[in-house]
Amino acid sequence: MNKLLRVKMGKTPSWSVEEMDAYAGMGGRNLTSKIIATEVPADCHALGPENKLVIAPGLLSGSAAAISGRLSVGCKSPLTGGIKESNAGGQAAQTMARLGYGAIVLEGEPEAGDLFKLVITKDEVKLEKADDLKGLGNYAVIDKLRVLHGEKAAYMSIGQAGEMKMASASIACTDMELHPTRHCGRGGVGAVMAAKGLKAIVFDDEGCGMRQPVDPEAFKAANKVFTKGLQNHSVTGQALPAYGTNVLANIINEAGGYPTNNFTTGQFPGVGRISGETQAELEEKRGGKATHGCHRGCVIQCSGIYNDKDGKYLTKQPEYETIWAHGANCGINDLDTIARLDRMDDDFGLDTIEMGATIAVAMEAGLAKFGDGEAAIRMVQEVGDGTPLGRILGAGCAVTAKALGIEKAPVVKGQAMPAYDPRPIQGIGVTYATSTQGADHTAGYAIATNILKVGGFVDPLKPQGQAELSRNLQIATAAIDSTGMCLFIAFAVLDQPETFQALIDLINAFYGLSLTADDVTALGKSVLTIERDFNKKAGFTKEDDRLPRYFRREKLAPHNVVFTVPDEELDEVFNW
Amino acid sequence: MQKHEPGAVPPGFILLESKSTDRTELLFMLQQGVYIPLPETPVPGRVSVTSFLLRVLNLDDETFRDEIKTMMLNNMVVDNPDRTDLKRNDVLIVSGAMPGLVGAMLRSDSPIKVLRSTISGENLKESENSSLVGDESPAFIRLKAFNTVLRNHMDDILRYGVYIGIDDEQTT
Repeated sequence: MNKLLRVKMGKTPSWSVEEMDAYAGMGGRNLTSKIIATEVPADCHALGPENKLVIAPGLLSGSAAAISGRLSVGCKSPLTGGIKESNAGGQAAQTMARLGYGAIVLEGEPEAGDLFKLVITKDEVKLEKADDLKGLGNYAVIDKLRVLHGEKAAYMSIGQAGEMKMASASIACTDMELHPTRHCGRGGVGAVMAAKGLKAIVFDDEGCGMRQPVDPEAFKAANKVFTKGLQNHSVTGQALPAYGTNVLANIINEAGGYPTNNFTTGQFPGVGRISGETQAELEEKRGGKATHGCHRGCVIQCSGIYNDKDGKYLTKQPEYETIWAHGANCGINDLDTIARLDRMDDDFGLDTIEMGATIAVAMEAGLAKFGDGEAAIRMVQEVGDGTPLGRILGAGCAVTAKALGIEKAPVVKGQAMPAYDPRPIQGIGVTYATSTQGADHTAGYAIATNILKVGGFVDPLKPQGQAELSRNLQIATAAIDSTGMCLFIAFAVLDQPETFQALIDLINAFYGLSLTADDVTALGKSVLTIERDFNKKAGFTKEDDRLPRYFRREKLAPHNVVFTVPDEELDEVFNW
Repeated sequence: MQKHEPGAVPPGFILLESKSTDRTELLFMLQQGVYIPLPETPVPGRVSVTSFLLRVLNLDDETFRDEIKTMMLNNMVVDNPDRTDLKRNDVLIVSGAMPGLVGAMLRSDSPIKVLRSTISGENLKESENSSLVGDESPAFIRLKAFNTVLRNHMDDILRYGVYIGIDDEQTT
């Protein structure tokens, strides 16, 4: 991964392959954020020629390291106005890394109306007109591309939402079956790809071998320990493979933190009909799969295949956030309706969290009743069709709330909150408020606090400040996001020190380094510092690190609580 | 506490018998919650979460510690199941370890439990359980099983028979 592919759009689009130079040794979120912060004026318009879209596999992507197939996409976000890193699984990271590219940087602006595809093979790069792909959804795009470029390539693409430059547009990555189901979903990255005039990227790694480590024996040994740690852990070895992420639905509902009907209550009476346990049973009964990987080399296998009532493929197993967003948050308790919405989101190229939150706001505004699944489907169809209402909905939750005269838009920095209400679970609210990314449940996901000892050892017997913990979690997450590892490794890393050590050993053996846990901490801090600095230059202040006021005013049942973490504590999160 | 006689169906409950091999509705029912009589204990009026679950899930203490990572009582997280007592009509949730940051927060005695202190059940005191003493009617706990506990212990939960509320049956 020593090459950087720079694609310059303009009257005469061109591309060049450069050395990684100042960006050498970086990967994933660390690399995307570094390039954006270095090369993009923070005050530019996200859809203008000064913004760039950076695509980067992780440090270990393309190697034999287990579960190392996450791909990061970075830019200035049209949704939040701040820096964005959005990552996804699928096959793109592995193939791009094997092709030797550490990053692709899309910059400039095409001639009006021009649309291209970028084809990358072992021996060449081609930038070709893609007029035949205009106006197509992701499934149709991949159907066309696979005929031309084969079944072994990996693909990235945008759907109609991206082409219309909607702020909730995603970028799809194909999975092992070449379904465009793995999305860099958050922040409108698909709109930025469209603004660069790119409809699709083809990664054909035929003739490229696996990336080889500097110390093969040490790497093999570390990978064995790492894999065993994941397989032995009760979350990564049992719960996630059996039920996927939606196993969370029941327990979050019991905790009273399952946002229902646009965050108006914390429990959904229909949760049993859409839970992970029910979903897995239904998938297997219809001949789908409840256990499936999103990319080769995944040992957790938290995904699945969702078939319709006739046993035909409909979509991948919708995740917890999707089922909540289109389900409980819209009062919908029918898995088939939710799966249809998931399929539509994947096809149009939309962030499922943003769309679910947006439809819920529209329902609160009276455009439909909570629980009306057909109305939800009609609204998403309007987004794909680009009707006037669809354009508003596609602009996201905050814009929709403003257009429809609704106060209660559950957003931070313009981005919709995910599936955990911050009133009963206040710690997640601290991360929502202070994340550089806008409301984001993955920003503080890596729960390796004690092992990393970031910000000091946390004694489980003593109460700690929520700000300190949130900071530590965000640091650890930023570091893991840079490795290309799926964040779900965090569970095994939390409970099993040897698994965390194996992760560091993997990086060291691959690159011939001698990193320690302190170095990993420093990496996480560095990423967050870069991102905070960019956001500051973009105009963000501490007043942007806040939840909407109504979370401090409106009590949430069943606990009847409001968000109470003081502003002063929120301001301490990044005070290091 | 009144010992519940097998076969006696208390008012407000119905007895269901299923001969189907399709477990979908049973899975759904156990997620919604089934009613289980509280057992007799050496200390009248005192049934801890641990002792109740050891019996119902047919577990030894070591397996219990390994397998049961998430417990909630009446929507509050149970951090100390040995010292948390049950009372009449409590709703008890039992689950394996959950994914996600919030899943990790919700684990019993999680190192990051301060992040969900609003819903920590540390204030559930023994004194609140006095309703078990002196009441002659059968005492029930509504048990909900999720995640790997549902998969691994469905038969354990069902082996002595369970009750479901009439309202719950209508929702299934």
